[in-house]
Amino acid sequence: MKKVKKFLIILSVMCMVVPLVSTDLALAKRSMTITWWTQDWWQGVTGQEMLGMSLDDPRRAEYTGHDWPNKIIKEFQQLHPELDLNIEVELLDWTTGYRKLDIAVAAGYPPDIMVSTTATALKFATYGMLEPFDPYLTEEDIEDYSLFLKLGEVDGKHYLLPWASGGRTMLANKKIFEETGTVNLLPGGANNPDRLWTYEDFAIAAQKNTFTRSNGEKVYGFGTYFAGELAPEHNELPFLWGYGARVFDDTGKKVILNSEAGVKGLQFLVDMEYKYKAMPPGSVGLRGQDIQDLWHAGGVSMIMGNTGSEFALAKGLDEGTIKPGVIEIYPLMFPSDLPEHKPAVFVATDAPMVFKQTDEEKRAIVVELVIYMTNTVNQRDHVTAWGSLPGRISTLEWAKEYVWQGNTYKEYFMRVLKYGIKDAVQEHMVSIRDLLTSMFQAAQTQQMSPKEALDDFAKRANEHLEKEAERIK
Amino acid sequence: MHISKKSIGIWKVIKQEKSGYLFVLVPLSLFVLFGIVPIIWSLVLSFMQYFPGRSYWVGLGNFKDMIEDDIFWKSVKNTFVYTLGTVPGGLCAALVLSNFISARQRKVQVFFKSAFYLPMVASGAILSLIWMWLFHPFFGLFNYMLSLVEAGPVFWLGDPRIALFSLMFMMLVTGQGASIILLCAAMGNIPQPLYEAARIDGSTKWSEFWHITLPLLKPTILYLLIMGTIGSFQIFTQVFIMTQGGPNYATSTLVYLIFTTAFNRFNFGKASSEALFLFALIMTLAYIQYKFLGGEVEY
Repeated sequence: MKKVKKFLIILSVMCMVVPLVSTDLALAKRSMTITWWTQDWWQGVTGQEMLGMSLDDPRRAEYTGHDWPNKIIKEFQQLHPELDLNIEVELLDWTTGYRKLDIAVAAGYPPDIMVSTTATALKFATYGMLEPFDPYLTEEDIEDYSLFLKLGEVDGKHYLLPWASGGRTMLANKKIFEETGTVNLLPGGANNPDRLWTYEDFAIAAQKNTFTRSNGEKVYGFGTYFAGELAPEHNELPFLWGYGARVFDDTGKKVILNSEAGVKGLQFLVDMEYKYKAMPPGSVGLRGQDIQDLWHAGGVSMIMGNTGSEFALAKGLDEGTIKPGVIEIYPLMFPSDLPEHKPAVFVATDAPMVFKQTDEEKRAIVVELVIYMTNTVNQRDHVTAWGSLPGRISTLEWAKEYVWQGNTYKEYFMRVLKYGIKDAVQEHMVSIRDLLTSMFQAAQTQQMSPKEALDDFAKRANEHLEKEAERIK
Repeated sequence: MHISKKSIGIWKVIKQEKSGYLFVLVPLSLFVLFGIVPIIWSLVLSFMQYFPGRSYWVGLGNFKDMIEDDIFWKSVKNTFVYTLGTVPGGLCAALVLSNFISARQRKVQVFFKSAFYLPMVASGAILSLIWMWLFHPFFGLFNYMLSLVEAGPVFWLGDPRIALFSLMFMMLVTGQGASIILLCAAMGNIPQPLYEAARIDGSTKWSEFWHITLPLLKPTILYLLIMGTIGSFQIFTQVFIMTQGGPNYATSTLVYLIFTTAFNRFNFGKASSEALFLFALIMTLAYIQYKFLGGEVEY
């Protein structure tokens, strides 16, 4: 009886105390953890901290890919003193990072924020796993993001916020063209500021810059790769687009690359190796790094490049991984069937995306963080860190005035943007990439003729897309 | 509730041997959790279309997709070719080398065994990266050696006709260490009087090997054959690092296809059906090998 009495007294006290304590707890900060996964972009906050340091300088270890995200996190936490915000950043490398993300998503534990490529965003948006940004964007934002916002559109909604943007084009090594006395073959000048040229002119330039130096070193006119982790929309498809071919129809759900234009484009690429002999033999077995090594050694006259190639060259020279005097970079357009068809290139934006949230309050904070990291001021950091184009017009105006004044390389890439096409960033491009790769390999090894390879690819890809449509609905 | 006499017996035994069962409980739990449960879940997944939060049942749909996919059958064919080339071929090479090594002095034996086993210690990824350089069309050692006799270059990994054979060659050269160790140990256990008796009867080296060594090595050979088949059917690292299944699926193997179906196509259901097929295939082959080769040792 005494024990029962004691128990009842304790219970009554608890019933009085607990509500009071709960009230106190409710007044305390709400704790929130946000997971932010990002591809590994640059080390340091500005990306410039290691300039002038040799590769084995121990000070390099002080700078990591976490530095910029940590800066953003600190600033964002100060904007929300009412929250106990814990933001965990995970860096993903460019090789295995995609797998890690796929596994996390498949296991039902995706990060809240992922900063990756347009293709990644489109893939997960297609599967219905991302939050659209449309409800959170003002008219002003939409206008400011307008250069690249459409790239992340699926069924009328937008699933990425443009951040680090850019395009692909060709690069010529002017030093080699000077060596062969063929600089005049490079397109350009006041009459041709976009540096357009025909397939014929390109082939002639490539042939004339394929030679053997007196020391036995072989130089090839043009180099591209077909092995490794291939993204054909970057490097190979522009040769087909230049004839007016397109991978997808206007709906983006049917493959139509096996047109007459597609066959012409693919035939040209095959001819570059076998007929014009201006590409390294066995190009099918070459990877991106092999082509880069040849380029850095002055062994190839023209390759594919991107917005950041100039910056990468400067960094390589600074670090001593590239010898000075070997390369003089000259960006120019992919060849096309002028005047009937203009060239088309890959233009995209690396961007943050938000995976579906169940907590309304958290969703708002996560989206706010993404808008913050991609605001006008914060976008400046990647412009200076690794030479990309910003995703906002306001940052672009700043870059033109304060960073790129007189930078002909960046000026040229601003011209390249208008040649970007939706075909390069269609939502189903990622899922057919392996089929595209095998198509290029089959044609380039002459296992199949270009027409056979394209017909085979179109058949397989359309079968796959039909099954995907069934699967996803 | 009726409890059978047998059940009572089992519980009695468990109670008597409880400390032993307690010892195996942890590893057994880990095995069930990380071995059995994933297999069962994979089996369930193979009948589903899997999306986090909205999976649905498709019955045999994934298996139908798999059977209709000619890339799947190409991968099966490549895997069989790879296995047929590396397992018997590797075993023959290991037998010849072991026969040579076990006849040498102890110090020489140690040297050769260590040399052949060393690649087994290195990770498959590192070996693959090194061999990628050996096979490089411009900077590779093999093409350099060919250039000395004014031959080549050969596109070892870029030519669809030979890419798979290049991978097989790599396996034959680097993958026999464990077999050699085991065969040498087994050869060391063969009683010498057998050879002496045979020599008295006028046997040659070859007939000693064929009639004495080989039959007495049968259990070891069977083990190596079964384990080698299981291992070669699961080849992945070399393909992933060196060729990504190309060019044009010439080196696509079953496990690599499972990987790409899951992570490139995000189709976990179909990938699970392919994994189930692989499981059934390996089990069947292992059973066949054991049934036909698992007879008693003969003298």
